[in-house]
Amino acid sequence: MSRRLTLVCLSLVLAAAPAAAQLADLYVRGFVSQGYLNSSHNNYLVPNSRDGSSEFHEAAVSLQAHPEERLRVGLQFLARDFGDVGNNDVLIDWAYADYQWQDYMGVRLGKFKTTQGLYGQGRDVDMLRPTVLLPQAVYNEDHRDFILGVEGLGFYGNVPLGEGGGLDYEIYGGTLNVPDPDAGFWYNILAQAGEEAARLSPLDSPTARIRFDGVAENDVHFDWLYGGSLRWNTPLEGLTLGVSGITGRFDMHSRLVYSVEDPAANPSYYAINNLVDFQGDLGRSVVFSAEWSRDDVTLAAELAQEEVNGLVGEGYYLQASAHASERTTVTAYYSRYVRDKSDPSGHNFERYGYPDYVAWQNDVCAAVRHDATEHLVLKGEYHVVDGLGLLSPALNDLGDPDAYKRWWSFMAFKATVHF
Amino acid sequence: MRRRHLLLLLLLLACAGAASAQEAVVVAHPGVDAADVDEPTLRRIFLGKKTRWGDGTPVVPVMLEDGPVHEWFVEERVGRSVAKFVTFWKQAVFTGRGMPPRTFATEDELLFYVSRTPGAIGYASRVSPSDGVKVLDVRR
Repeated sequence: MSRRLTLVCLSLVLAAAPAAAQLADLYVRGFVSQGYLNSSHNNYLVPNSRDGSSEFHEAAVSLQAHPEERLRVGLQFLARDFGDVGNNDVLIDWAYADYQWQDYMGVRLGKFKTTQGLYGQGRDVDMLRPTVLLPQAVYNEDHRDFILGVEGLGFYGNVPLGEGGGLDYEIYGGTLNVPDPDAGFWYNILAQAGEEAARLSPLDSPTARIRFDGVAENDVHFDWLYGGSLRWNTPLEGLTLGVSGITGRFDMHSRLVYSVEDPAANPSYYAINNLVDFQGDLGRSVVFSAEWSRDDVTLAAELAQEEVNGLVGEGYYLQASAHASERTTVTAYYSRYVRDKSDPSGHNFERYGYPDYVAWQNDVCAAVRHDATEHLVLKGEYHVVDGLGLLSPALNDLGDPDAYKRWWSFMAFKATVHF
Repeated sequence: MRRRHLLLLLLLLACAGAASAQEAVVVAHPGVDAADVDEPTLRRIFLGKKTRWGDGTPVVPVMLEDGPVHEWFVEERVGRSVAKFVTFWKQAVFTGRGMPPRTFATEDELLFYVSRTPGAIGYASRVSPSDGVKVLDVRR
């Protein structure tokens, strides 16, 4: 987010209260989470998860104030570490002004979270959900940057429908600078392109060898992003239905580094910098949602489709949560993800020498959440997985059949302190 | 244990369960432009979706911090479990979309605030004329 807009929002927040009671009129909240992931056979989500990894951490502080009756301003600092992504760099998670003219029409200006699915808004806030990880079939960590937020303008509101319940809507448009383009999804697609380019590059000398050495620089931003959501709070008590979607175009400006070794040449070694400009399309990311909640039981189901550069992936899950006691919630879900909706059985992957189960990932999860105190949440979960559909090629050599297994499992634990 | 004693014990346990949920009456500042309120509107108020009364006065919802009266109100009038209600407002806070209603430790503190704050609405287990608030009937 631009420094100027950040400073404006911070100034508005701090100026919202009279000087004598400045801190008292600020609404300040925060949390710290620490997790642990351990997988069998395959590295998942973070490097070295096979050996166990605690590179799984979030911390945030949020500030809000009401400078005027209909105006609210706020910002949130967030630091997260998830494997190679984040590395605890403190970023502005959101910072915006919100003017609610009427219940059916409000305006947001700045950097704000977008609504994607039931739980996308709060995906970085551990205590908002019963499980450690959101179902990855719908909330793919690799594609987090596509659906996390926008820097721009949004409209929202609530429209009561009388006997028909009520509607919550949101529409927005803007741009976004990807906060961590040197890791995760963005690094992975460049690394794959770099490896392939090195493999296919023609060389003049039969003794020369070219090697891809990595991504030296990477800048990614969305030229434009727009989307919206509609949530129907139905007249059937506890039932909510929703749809949300986003589309956009991103630009990548990158420098890939190669080295060439040729014992017969002088010099025998030299480096090549390849500047790459690439435009990609987030054709669409759509989520259909249903949630039913009554007393201490919640059932949820979501279906998501995401098209990136013409490739349509699809995922869904079915989840049930219930309070086993006043402080303990148990959850179970089944999810399925396919990388390419047109090839759910993986025939295309087989043609390129990969096993068919690279095409899908089916996941059964059992989770427990315990609210030990009003401010401390403890969670643990266990997954049994069939397939490698969500595995990153940067963490697993999918060209080596001894490097992965079709059936595997993983567990995750997390503790969160919040105030 | 004799069957009669067992039945009596079960009856007592059932009554004990019922007694832990304490009904609440909805109260508002005397100047609030309403004599009653329906449940869908109450729900919208305490979920931050209705922000103005009919005359344009800002709605100021207030709540108790905890207790059987609070639990009853959240479950029966707002239509959510206490845990889901807390989660709803935590999400609003950590996405910047709002701040939860102000809370009070005792009913006396809540009633005092409501009586002196235009647009305020809350709830209590019992109200007397000296509290200086109006009671709103709740329509389904």
